[in-house]
Amino acid sequence: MNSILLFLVLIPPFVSFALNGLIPSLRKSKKGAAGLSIFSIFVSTLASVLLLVEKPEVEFLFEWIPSKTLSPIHFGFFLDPFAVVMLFVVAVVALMVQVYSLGYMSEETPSSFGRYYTFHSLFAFSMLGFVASSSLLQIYIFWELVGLCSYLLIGFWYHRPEAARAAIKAFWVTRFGDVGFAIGMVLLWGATGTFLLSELFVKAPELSNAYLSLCLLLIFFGAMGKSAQFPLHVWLPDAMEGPTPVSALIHAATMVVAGVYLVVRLFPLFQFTPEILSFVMWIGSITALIGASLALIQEDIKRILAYSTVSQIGYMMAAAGAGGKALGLFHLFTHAFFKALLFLAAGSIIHALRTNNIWEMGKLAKKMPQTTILFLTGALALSGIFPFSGYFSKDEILIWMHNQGFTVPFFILLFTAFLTAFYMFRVFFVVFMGDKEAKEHGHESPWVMTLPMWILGLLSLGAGFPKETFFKFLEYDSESYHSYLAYLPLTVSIFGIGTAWLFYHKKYFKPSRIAETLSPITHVLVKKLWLDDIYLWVYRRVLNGISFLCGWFDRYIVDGLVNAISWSIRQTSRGLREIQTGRIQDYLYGIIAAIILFIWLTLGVLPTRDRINEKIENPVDYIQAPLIKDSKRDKNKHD
Amino acid sequence: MNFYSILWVAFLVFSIGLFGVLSRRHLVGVIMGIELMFNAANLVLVAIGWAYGVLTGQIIALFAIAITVAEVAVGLALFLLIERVRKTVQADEVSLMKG
Repeated sequence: MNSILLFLVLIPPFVSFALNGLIPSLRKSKKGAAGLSIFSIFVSTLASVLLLVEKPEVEFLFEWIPSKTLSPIHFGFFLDPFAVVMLFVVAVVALMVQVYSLGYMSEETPSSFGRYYTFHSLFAFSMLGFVASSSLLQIYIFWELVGLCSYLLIGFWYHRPEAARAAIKAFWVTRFGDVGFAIGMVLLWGATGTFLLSELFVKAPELSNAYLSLCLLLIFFGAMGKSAQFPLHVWLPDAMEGPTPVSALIHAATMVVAGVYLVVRLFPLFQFTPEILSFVMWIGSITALIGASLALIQEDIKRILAYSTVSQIGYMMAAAGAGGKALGLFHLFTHAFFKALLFLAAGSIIHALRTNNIWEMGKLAKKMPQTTILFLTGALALSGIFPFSGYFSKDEILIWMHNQGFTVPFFILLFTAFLTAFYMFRVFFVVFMGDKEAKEHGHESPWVMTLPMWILGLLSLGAGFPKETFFKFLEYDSESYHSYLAYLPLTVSIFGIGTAWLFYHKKYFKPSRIAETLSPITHVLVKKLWLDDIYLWVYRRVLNGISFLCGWFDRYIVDGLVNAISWSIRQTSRGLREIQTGRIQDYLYGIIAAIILFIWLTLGVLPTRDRINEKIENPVDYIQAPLIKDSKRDKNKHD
Repeated sequence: MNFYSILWVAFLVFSIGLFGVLSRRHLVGVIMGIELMFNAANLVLVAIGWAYGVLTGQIIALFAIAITVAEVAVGLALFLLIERVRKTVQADEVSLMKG
């Protein structure tokens, strides 16, 4: 029963992808393609809700690559409470985004619209498959599929050079991390002989700590690329070139959270290597701070949200690294809803105003009341204000950090919470309350776009309340904490909102003057810590240099060797060609010379002559008689 | 007249035929050389049959002559065709197999 439910989650998006992909007439019919895709993800969502109710522990395997000498490689699915929650998040957000896209992408041509939904179905399938995978190898396959889909969707408007470049950048940077993942995975397999998670969890403690640490560090490297952790976060802001609903999907439920989920999924391995865990935590904390500070100076509304995702994923990583994997997943759970909501609201604004720059927006509160309320909900949730879901999860993480004794990361994350509230409300005050008149006449979006936003808005508001149920579901004991700490993150966030209010609404201070005063820091932030420049330099100098050497070696040594062989053969053949005169007599000379040679050989040269004679003697001895007599006579003569 | 002198004659005839095959440019000359070589072979067959007092040699020689006749017929037909297509029956001018 439970495995049927699991298949009901996984198969419909794949069927939708296959049908849309294989039948052009279906793909090019706008309603058909979108309807099939949305229906399939709807079925997945229903099935995932049922799974959430059932809370099964399913392990379903079949032999994929049988082997007699090595242990066979399995393909299958493994569900634990974490996977079930994740399936639910992915399916819900994917459903909302696909419904929303009906409105957002309505101006696309039929074939492009169908392509969009085909990719979406594949994206949903790969992420769901990734979540439920039972073995590392299978995780890797779906992981790459997720990367491929995000490449396809970021570069959806491939005729725009920036979009194509952003897609390639996303692909390369994540692939850079994936190299680590692949090596780590194979190293782990080399030591244990299995890819299966359930077997790995049993066998891993037997490995030496250093070896396991190396494997997990490499695997975490893949997670850093996928989850846009410092210093591999550079692809995520550029990925904003894709359609906004795609950004919502990538940021909330698929792609970037895959890295966090991987760490959570492999936590039974990570817990044996405290050094790697603290590395994860530090990377998460640093990413949170850097993402938030970069968000401060952006002017593109989607880029602000992108950096805020980088920062929030940092929170999740830090929580997982500090040992609170359930907290990380809880923040992922709440973040999925409010970040999807924020992106969809931003998409609604962009759809209406046709600009991404926040300084070209203003006074939207009156023109787009629904979007305003929903964006405010998302912003409050992201800032961690009390009744909204972000409060619960962020609070839990901060208190966990404090209780575990990670003081420095705790303060980093606390400061990040302040920055988060500040930059979110900077956007809010400028875009919705600002007094600049937008060029385009803003209008409220159609209901297919607002409905998913309302649902996500309700989820952002309510997803935090069932905290106790959530932790009980994940079989995790939440600790009680000091009372004064409980108010600290909230206070900090409110302080951040207040600062934004003073700066951007009341305009008591000029932000540009602050920026001038802190000019070194501003400069660093404007240059994005020079990371892009460093990567470009490495690419231009180091990689191109190596490539040049490899190219030279290939062209002159490898190719040269092959060419020399072929040249010598050609020359030899040219010489041998002279033998072929085409005159029959010449060939006959050759044949006769050969015959004479063979006769001469049989007469006296070959040592086996006597033996051959003996063998021939018996069957036809009457022919031999005179010859033998003759040879005897010759001998007599000699005598 | 003994067995070995007949073999010597056959050897001579064979050699003359071979020389004809190798030295003649005209295709009819070549086939005449081949005929001489065939005759030498037949002579050996008959001589061996005679020397051993069995009829097998003569019988094989008769078969060989019949086959030779058929072969000459085919060969001459081929030469006629070559003459018609290439306008020549000189062996060295028909050099389709030149590399």
